[in-house]
Amino acid sequence: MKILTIILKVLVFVCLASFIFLPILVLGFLGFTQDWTQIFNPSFTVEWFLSVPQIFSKAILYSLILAFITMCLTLVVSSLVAYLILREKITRFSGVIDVLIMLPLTIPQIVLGLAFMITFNQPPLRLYGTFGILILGHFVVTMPYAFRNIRSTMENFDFSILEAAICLGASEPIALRRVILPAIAPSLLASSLFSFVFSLANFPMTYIIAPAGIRTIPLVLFGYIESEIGGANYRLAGCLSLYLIGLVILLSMVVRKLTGRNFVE
Amino acid sequence: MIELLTVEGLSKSFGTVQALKDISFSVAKGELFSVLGPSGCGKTTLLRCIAGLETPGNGRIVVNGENITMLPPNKRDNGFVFQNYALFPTMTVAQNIAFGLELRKIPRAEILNRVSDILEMVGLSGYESRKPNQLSGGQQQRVALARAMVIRPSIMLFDEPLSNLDAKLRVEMRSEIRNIFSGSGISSIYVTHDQEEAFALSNKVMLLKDGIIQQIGSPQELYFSPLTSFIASFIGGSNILEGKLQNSQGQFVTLEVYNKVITLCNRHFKKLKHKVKFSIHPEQLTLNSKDSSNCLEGIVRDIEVIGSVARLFVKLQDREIIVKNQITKEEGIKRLPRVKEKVRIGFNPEEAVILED
Repeated sequence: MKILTIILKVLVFVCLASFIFLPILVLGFLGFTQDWTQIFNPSFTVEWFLSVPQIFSKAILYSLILAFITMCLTLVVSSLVAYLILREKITRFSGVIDVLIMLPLTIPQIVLGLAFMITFNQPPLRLYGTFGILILGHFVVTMPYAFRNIRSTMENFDFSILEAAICLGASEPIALRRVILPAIAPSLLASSLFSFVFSLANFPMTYIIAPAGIRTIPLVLFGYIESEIGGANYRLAGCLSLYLIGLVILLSMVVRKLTGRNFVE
Repeated sequence: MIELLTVEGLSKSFGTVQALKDISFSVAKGELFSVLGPSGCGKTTLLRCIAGLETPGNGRIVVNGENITMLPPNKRDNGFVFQNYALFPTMTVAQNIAFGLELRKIPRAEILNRVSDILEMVGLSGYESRKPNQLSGGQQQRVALARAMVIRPSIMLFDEPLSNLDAKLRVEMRSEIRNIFSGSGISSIYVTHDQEEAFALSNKVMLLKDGIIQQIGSPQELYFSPLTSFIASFIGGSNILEGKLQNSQGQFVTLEVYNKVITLCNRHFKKLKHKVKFSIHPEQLTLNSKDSSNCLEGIVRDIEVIGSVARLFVKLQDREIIVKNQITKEEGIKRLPRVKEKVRIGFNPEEAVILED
């Protein structure tokens, strides 16, 4: 029985490794080769890896700015929701708010993107073709993840510390600033970082609503796929992907440090 | 006795549930006053109304002559100790304790002094830089106590502070609280469901049930002179027996209980009905004794021996009573009756208490 378990474990590992890690390894590996056709006789170079920031500077900048703005928006809204939950002002409506915020999760992003494209094409909401629609779209699809995180933190939060501060003589603003905020700040920050990462890596929504001239990293990578294999410099694509993956891993480590929880939880 | 706090006609409802019904009592200066009762009796609601964390529907709360019923909690002079400690997680022990003093704009030097003094008082000197998550339950509770005490409030409010601690720690902390507060001049209102705790700590106990006051008195009064069968059984697990009234002359009452004649002492000259209920504590009952004036017969159903205390569950026709015996030597266990054995239960007329319900 024990041998069977071991065989099963090895099998599962091999399957997961080959379907998940292998393609990424190959892509990354490619980024460091000199000659694309000599895949099994590679000679390594970091030429492509180092040239990524310069070649894709615009895309990287757009992605980072967009992600940052989305992060700020989600931070503000998350804090507001957290405050309302704290003051129990919305417990009667919390079911409604919950559904509203989580709704975008249930709708496929492509459909959502299409809906955005149509809705924001007419005055007075003529946002289509501007950076604004991109920000709005990113906010809508990343907010559910941030909110879910905040909600679970607030549910497990012991609010008697707020009462303790008040009984000791603190007014509400002082109690919030000195006692509650430091306690939930890591969680707020972590959920905003969620939005940052989701915004960076977002594709379906971005592809549909991005205005002409604005291309984020995922859009650039998609461009490589559309052209023929071998015709474009896949090494650059590989390196760019590595940058993206590296950034995501870095940020998830920060999140872990802040909340002691995994990125996927 | 100077009345520090007076509660008059306090009522509070949550929706259709009435948590408190017309509660009135006073706490004297320096008194340790316990509010005792089973879960859901309204004791925590009462404490929170006094603290200002809940607003009563009716009634007044007067402290030092001032009506504070509508005063917000941060303007009242209370020290609140929470059941789950409620320490500020991102602050150190010293910062937690200093919090209330900083709000009162007390100079830095004095804050440092008072913090170290109070830490010494609760036995946590040297723990200033620890964070709450580095402390054990008992230590956290001491910090919570220190934090509430250091602001020198006129009233301390305790919300079942020891319930989350293990039994041994509870007894230790109980003793420490008693040492700190008796004779200190600070009035305390202590909420608990643990009868032993209330009795060990307080000068006066108020028993609540379903939001209504059952009895207020010293621990001895509640133990030896309970008014109703609920009070008698809640306090000390008293046995409740019933009998048919035969004769009543002055203080002496004779009843027929399970076909036997029982004599009781009607100390408070209570009005008697045809059926009289009375209570007797398990330790006031004797087994197979030859010289008890009152005697009942029963069969032992079960025996429980915990350390030096033997509890016998004796069946008397339609109900079961508990007899408690103290055993000082191991041989004492051998002299106990066996299960299914017939026993004679005896008690003195003066020790039984006639109940009002």
